[in-house]
Amino acid sequence: MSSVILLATIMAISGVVGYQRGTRPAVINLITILGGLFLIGHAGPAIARLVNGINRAVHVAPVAVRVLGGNGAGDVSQVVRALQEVKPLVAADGSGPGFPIFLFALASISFLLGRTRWLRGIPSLAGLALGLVNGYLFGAYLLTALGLSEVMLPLPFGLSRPAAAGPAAQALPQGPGLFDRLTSLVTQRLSQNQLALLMVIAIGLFVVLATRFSSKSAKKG
Amino acid sequence: MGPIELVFLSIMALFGVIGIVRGYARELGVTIVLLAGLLVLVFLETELTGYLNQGLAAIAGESVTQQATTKALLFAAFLTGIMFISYQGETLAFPAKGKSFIFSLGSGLLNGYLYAGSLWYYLGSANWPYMTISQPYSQFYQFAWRLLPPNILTWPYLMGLVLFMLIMRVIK
Repeated sequence: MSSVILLATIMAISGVVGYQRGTRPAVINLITILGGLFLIGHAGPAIARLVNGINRAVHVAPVAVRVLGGNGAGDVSQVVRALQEVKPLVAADGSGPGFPIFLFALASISFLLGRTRWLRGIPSLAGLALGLVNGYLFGAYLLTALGLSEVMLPLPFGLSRPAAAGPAAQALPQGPGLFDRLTSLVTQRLSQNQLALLMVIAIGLFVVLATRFSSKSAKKG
Repeated sequence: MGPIELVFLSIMALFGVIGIVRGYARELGVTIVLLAGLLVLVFLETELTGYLNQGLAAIAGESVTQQATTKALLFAAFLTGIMFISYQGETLAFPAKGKSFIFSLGSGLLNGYLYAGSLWYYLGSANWPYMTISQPYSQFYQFAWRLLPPNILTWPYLMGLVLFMLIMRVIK
């Protein structure tokens, strides 16, 4: 049930964004997400190598710079050790957060592309519908790949699978879920006064950010 | 999650959408009014309990249940009234004219939390008058109950927030 609510929330946000940005950016998003899902479904090993390679490079680069820069000059074994210690984002069986991160990166790039002058659109109902579809595709894949979905969510390119049986789901630590932990924090650990203080700080911070750091208000106001 | 939680979460979501359409500058004006209204109710309930009970007894009679129901309905009507008035006018709207998506959505949701959350609290405290809702409540209900505005924000906090927002409204 909670995964369905999460999916509905992602779809609703995506639908509103789609409506606001118009049809063209939503189409670009749809093409990108479908392309990403196609690549994951049909060229998974190549994408896995790419994602793992980038992950290794990001982790090893600081060590390599340090070695080359003189702190432990010439000690290549440090680089090799760092390389061995990096855990792959995509495991051999395709589990892990690597593919969702890949899809998220693609969706982010297409989102930014939609902000360019040529692709900018006006609010439209078609944008809303496409936004809902985008939200479903992205959300359903995310929930399936991370093993968070209790039900099988239909996805194109053979990506649907019951998440509970997936390796990612088995890898998840057993114990109280996120909501249980949150409930325990709110109902048991934090006092009413602490909760009030947190709420006041959150509201105050939001008001400061909205009134002082909203660039649009400064330009137009 | 039960139906009552879904109803109030839907109201909050609706306020979020209204926020996106109207823009955060106008929504924050409504926030000040809602906080001020809530301050009146919370102050009345905690500091002027004697007068409140006398008034309720005069209206609803000696029955405690009737008094609780009357109080919930009066408080809900008061909040709905001031919310309607503040949405109609723009007196306290912030000077900015921007419609930043995130801030507009956030301020709309904040208003939804303040309004729907307060209604939830006052109607729930009166055992949901004229509705067939009874215990045991869901885990989410109990979680949300602790975070409802009148439950969490005492009047000094509310007064501080109103003053802070007025200052933010005035300073450039």
